[in-house]
Amino acid sequence: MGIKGKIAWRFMAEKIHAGAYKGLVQAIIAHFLEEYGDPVKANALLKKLGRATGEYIYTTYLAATKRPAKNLRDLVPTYNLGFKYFTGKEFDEITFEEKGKDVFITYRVRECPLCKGLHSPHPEIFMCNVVAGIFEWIEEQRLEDWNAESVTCNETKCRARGDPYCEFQYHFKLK
Amino acid sequence: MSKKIIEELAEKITNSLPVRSRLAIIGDTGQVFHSTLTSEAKEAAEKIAKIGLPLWDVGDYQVKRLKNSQLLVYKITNRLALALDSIEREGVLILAAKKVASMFNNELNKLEELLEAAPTYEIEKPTLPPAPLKTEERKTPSIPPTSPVTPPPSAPPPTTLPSVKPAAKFETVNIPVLVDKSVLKKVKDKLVRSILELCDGSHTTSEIAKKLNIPRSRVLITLGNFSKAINYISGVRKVEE
Repeated sequence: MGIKGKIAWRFMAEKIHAGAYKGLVQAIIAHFLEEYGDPVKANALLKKLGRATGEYIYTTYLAATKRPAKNLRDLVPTYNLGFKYFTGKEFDEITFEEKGKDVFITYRVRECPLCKGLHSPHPEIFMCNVVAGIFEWIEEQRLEDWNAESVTCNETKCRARGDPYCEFQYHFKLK
Repeated sequence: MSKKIIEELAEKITNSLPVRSRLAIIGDTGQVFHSTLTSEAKEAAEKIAKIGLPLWDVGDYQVKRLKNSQLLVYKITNRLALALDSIEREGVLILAAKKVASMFNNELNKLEELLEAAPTYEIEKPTLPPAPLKTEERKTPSIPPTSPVTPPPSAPPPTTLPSVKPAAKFETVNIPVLVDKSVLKKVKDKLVRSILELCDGSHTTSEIAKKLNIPRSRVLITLGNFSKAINYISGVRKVEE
């Protein structure tokens, strides 16, 4: 992130206290478990919430940065900038892997600001899965641009459930 | 009943307006309680109020340019809009509406209560029904196979299943509104212009994409480039089946 990005994050990005977000996530998970009693479903619903947030987040990001990804490889710096814009933190590690018509992009963050201090009530619940839902929704809108037929994004590791880092993995299937 | 109160209040508002303007008081399902608007302005105000009021916060508004005037629809209470139609500039109309909102806050809230109590003013509230979202996915306690199932003597087995109305579907929506129309003069690209012209407060980004037969991402990215001229009305709405 350059100096402009740092200034944008410090002075221009609207912020709320991380505790407010984490408290809300906790309450939502408790509600899902109470309502459905099924951690797998609770986890899927977290992602669904993220998907429903996708447009709001993407328009906010575009309005602030005017920097949509130009190609699949550009998703590496683009999502780094987006994560920084919304959380103040960059990813620690990003990998881009192409296997024939399958493209995998993996983002890892060790001190994830979204779940730091939270403890997942069940190993099937990835507490930052909302983020995976947001990512998935955004790239679904761009399938045509990437000449892809489908995309999924999941949180595959989460510090809140004892993993060493939070990990979000994209899987694009190209046409 | 409340008609007299509405007329009196409308007269007071008219007299207090710092500008010459026709006005209307409109409810959140588009019903007009009082109007001195022209038919063109009235029709537009009804449509805007119907679409906008359930999504807006109090104080939100939309301005529409008519042939010879400007129409402002301003959410003045939770369920009422004030429409002003005047040759005055947008900013002046907004200030006038804000003034009315602060001057007549109590009367407008009382009027809203009266209208809510009236039997003719029935509005389908855009809130989730108390029923579970998906009844079929609710867990039912399992009965051990060894325990005999015997219905209580006072409760005969039902002959027909009670009909369960499925919960309505809702979606998050973001409706772009072009607030600075002067950008249209600077835009030469036809498609970009068409996208911006559809940012009239009544189309979602998805609807704009469908209308122009382009991917939604194109709309989102284009609007991102005009962030200073675009405001979003963000809310939740019922998905029409």
